Amino acid sequence: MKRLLFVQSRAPHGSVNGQEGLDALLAGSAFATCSLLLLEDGVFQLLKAQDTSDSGTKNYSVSYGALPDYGVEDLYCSADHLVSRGLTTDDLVVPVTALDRAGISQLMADHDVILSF
Amino acid sequence: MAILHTVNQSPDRHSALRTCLEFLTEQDGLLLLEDGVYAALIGVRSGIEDLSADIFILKADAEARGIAGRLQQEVTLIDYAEFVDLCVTYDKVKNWS
Amino acid sequence: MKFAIVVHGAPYSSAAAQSALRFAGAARERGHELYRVFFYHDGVYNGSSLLAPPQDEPDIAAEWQALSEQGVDLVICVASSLRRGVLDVDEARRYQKSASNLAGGFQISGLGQLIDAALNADRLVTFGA
Repeated sequence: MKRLLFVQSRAPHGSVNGQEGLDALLAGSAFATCSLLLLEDGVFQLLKAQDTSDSGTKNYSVSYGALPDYGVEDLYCSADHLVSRGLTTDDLVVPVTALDRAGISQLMADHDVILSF
Repeated sequence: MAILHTVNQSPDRHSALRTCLEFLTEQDGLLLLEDGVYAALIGVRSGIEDLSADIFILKADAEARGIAGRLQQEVTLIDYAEFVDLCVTYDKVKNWS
Repeated sequence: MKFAIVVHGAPYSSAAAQSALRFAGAARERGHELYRVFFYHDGVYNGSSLLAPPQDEPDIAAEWQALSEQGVDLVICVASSLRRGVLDVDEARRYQKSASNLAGGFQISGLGQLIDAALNADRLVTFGA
């Protein structure tokens, strides 16, 4: 069975890409082994304390917490991109493995298809 | 498992190329299309000058933007048929948008 | 080889549609099978039947139509399209809208079609916005 890698590179709320990327990942989890990789502003997707009560956007960050229930347990991010944004993995709503450059290259090599949002 | 990385954004306006170059390995290939072609302009330091991986430029997009004659020599101009061939040659395609 | 194409950009707003169309044509000329074209994000606007560009600009709708007539599966993501107001007759009725606007040759379906394409095509090529 093919392994699918979903890559999120954009911040939440500024565009619907993250939300639709998560939808695609949830759909994928029903049919295949799926992993999630957060790059660049994509790391903000999982930031704790998002409060959308006055923004007019949807707070779907809680849905990331349900990923293990969907069988998606391989969650990764760029360690560099996390650090350059002043964050650590403790700031994220679910446990995420921070990888260095070589680790991310290997991750992309290890998956059969990469879907980017 | 070599990857064909495609970048369709200008290096000045967007981080797509910069981030792609962080993870592109020696056996991978880089294809610049749409506004991504501006990264290959002579005199522009976009990071591709130091790459050992193969670099391809979609000829139609460079021509449309008037820069086909202003590209760095290390790049290979290709048409859409060759773009298709590259997708076959490499094991998968990763778009950076 | 079996190719699947994903389009993320709206027509005329980004180059995604034109690039995808040219790639699709070249893939077929090279003798490859086009397993599916899947439209996601703003790419779903490609499925609107109401595109009316000036006459001296490319007719993207006609190009998709031509691809469809060659038997290529053109699938619009239902969640993306409902949000953005691209509806077929059934969805328009379900949501009690005054009109539907899905162009001929396109069909609305779920994200399962994207995953199916990723799993069953030999290559998935995405044209982002």
